[in-house]
Amino acid sequence: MEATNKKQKGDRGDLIFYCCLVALPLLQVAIFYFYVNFNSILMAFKSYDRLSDTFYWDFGANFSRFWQELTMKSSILIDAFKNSFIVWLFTSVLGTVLSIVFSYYIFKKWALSKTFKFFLFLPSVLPSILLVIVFKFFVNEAIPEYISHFTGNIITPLLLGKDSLMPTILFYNVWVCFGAQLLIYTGAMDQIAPEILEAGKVDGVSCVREFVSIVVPIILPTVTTFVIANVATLFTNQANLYAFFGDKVDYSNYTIGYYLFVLVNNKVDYGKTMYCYASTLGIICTLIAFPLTMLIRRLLNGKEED
Amino acid sequence: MKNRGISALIATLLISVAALGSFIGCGNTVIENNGYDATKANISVATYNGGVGYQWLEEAASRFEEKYKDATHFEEGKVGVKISVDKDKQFYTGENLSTSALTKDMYFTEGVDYYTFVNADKVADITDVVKGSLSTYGETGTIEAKLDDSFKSFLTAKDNKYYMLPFYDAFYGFVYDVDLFEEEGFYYDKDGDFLALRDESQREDFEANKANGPDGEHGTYDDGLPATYKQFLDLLDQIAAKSCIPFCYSGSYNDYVNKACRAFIADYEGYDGFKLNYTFDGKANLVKEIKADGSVVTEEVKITPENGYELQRQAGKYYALKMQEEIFGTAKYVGGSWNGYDYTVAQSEYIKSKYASTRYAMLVEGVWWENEANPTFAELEIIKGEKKESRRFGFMPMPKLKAELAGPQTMFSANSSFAFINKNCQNMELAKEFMRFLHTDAEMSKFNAKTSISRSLKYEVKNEDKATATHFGKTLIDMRKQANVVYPYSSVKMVIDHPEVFSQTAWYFNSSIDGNSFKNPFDSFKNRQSDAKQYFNGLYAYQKLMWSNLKLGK
Repeated sequence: MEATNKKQKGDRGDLIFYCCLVALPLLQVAIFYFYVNFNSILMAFKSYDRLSDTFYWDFGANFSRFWQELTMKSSILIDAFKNSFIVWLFTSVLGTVLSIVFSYYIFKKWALSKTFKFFLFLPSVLPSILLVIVFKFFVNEAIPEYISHFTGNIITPLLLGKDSLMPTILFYNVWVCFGAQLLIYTGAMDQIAPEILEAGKVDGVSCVREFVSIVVPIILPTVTTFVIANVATLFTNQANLYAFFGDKVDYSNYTIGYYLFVLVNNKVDYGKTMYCYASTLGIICTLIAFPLTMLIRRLLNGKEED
Repeated sequence: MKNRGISALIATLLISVAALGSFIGCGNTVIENNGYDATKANISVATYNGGVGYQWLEEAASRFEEKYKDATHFEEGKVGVKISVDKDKQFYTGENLSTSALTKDMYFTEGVDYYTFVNADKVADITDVVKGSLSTYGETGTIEAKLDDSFKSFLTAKDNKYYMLPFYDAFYGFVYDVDLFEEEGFYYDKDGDFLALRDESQREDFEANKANGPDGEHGTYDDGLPATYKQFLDLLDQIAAKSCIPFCYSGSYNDYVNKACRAFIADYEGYDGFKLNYTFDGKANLVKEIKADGSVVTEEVKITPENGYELQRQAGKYYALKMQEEIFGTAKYVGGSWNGYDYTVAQSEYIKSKYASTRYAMLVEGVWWENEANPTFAELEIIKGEKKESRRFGFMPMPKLKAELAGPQTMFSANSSFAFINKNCQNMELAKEFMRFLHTDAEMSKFNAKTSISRSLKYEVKNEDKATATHFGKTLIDMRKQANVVYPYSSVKMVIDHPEVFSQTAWYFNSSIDGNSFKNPFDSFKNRQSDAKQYFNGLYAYQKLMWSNLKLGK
């Protein structure tokens, strides 16, 4: 009887402990995931009245606005979709390829590999705003000064020139995207059994052959995970534009991620008025990104199985 | 089992602490230890420490404390009052405050979206302050009587109550170096020739010979300054010919250039014409045709909310873009190359150029620049022994299209700054009294003289206060006294509900040219993406497209 009581007390204690432990996380998920996202979806079908501070049902308004903005001759959206895709190509495709190549270099412990590792990983551990300030100073002040000093030509600071702005932004984004990938890929390469590489050496494979035929196929599942995760960021990546320019980016350089951010973040001019349109845009982007992510996943997993 | 119990207790405590932490920002205001006086009635006042600074507030607080040093009615058992002033540039912006709990009793800040604060129920109803008598301070009227009509209707559009009062006038334009203008002869004489001050002993003749300036009257603040667009452009050539650089500007904040050139629109259109951009009710003279020589043919059109986009054909908008293209379309008048200066760097370069090989004649800035440049003035005082007060700068009035249009300025104040009281203020009576005090003519006059910046209300600056202002402040006081000021506020619901269309930048700068959208004329001209005529036509094209998204009737 005493043992049963003790057991019941123990069970009750466990239950209280369990409840205390999961209460806050569950509350957080309920509010910040389910409620917020559900409310965001509803907002796509509403409009905002500033004076009464109410969101009222307005079913087609935001979608028709989206369609109008998309189809008008001078569309911010078209530029933003195009730039998002370009940024994705550079950071996810080119960035991944370069990360794998640099990881292989470091994995092989070739000359200055540790130095490269340090400098390529550095952007991941420094605050992004600090990096942006240093980079901005370098491309806007130092480079024009060097060019002027050595060639006598005066050039427009790279982040202020029409033709140089986007390439400079892309370079920065590719550079800062190395860190995490580098760490994961070198880790994956370190897991390759030395016997496999030694067998290759005995067979006389070159470094390129080793890289293409042995290393890349073995780490492919890791690469696949990164690529799939990156597809999902197609419309959320703002390419650090806000860190560089605040809300002063010219329309032609917008990405969808940046556009969504400034629509919601511009509290001085917009307040809550653009929440509904941003929500609509978010839903449409999800409708594009979700099947695309699933398709790429299927393609890459299929390839993996092959 | 015992361990489990302890673990459960610890977990519960941790969760409770975390939960409490989430709510810690709520509740009444916190009086900081610094400055708190337990023997007096206290309030804390925070201000954005930007171009306006905070010294004006500390001085006003001292005067208020002195006036009420024997007061016992603000808090039982306390004699006198204590106003603790806190300043910060990072935290006390309107943008930050809109998303965080208010921890001070009263705020003077900028970047405020009025309805975000009001709808969040963060600010106190101050209707009694605004509509109440100021007789305690020897005035017969009310604060409401000092407000511009556009403010009155905008601030009370929700529920006929006032929750904030406008803070300061935000004029953008061109600052000029008076000393340089006199030395190098950049003033115009009555015959339209350039005029220099050769010797201080000739000052009387020099002043007498100056041309009338844009206002067409002699003996006013703008004597000798360019009266027409042509004179202004000729002046720039003259400055360049004298081996000076006409303009210093901030390449990183080049929207200042757009905003400075926007002042051409307001001045050309005049008060009624420019005000249409916020009332959408009246007759406008709109461009029908732009001739090859750049002159325009206009037609009169009745403006209503239904055809409000037609206002993008206002002639003033074309002339402003044309002037901007002439001045900033190439690097000719900015030193031969584009810069990437931050605005503080631009200020510093401008001030220090007096001691450099090439001097800048003008700076593209807002009227608050002098306070922001205090560190540079302080540095020069140490290095060169020259005090800020000994430098003479002025605020360039906008020239007119033709000499026949001479008259007072119409200025556009790009306001976003407000004063308000926290709804959870710990001593509402004291806070409201301080608000009243700060909006007396006497205090606003002192504010104006101290900061060089005018408050966005009607009042006169007293001569004894004006005497303490810098030269820049004095020219601004004179200009403001003569000018008509348009504020970017409206009670038209369409305007309130669609800031994405009617914001101070979107409405004046968004343009659609050859299938591309632009929002920055400076970049567009610099990058050769359009000329003034194309940009002007694009303003109309863009807003006409946008108009179908507006809820006109709601």
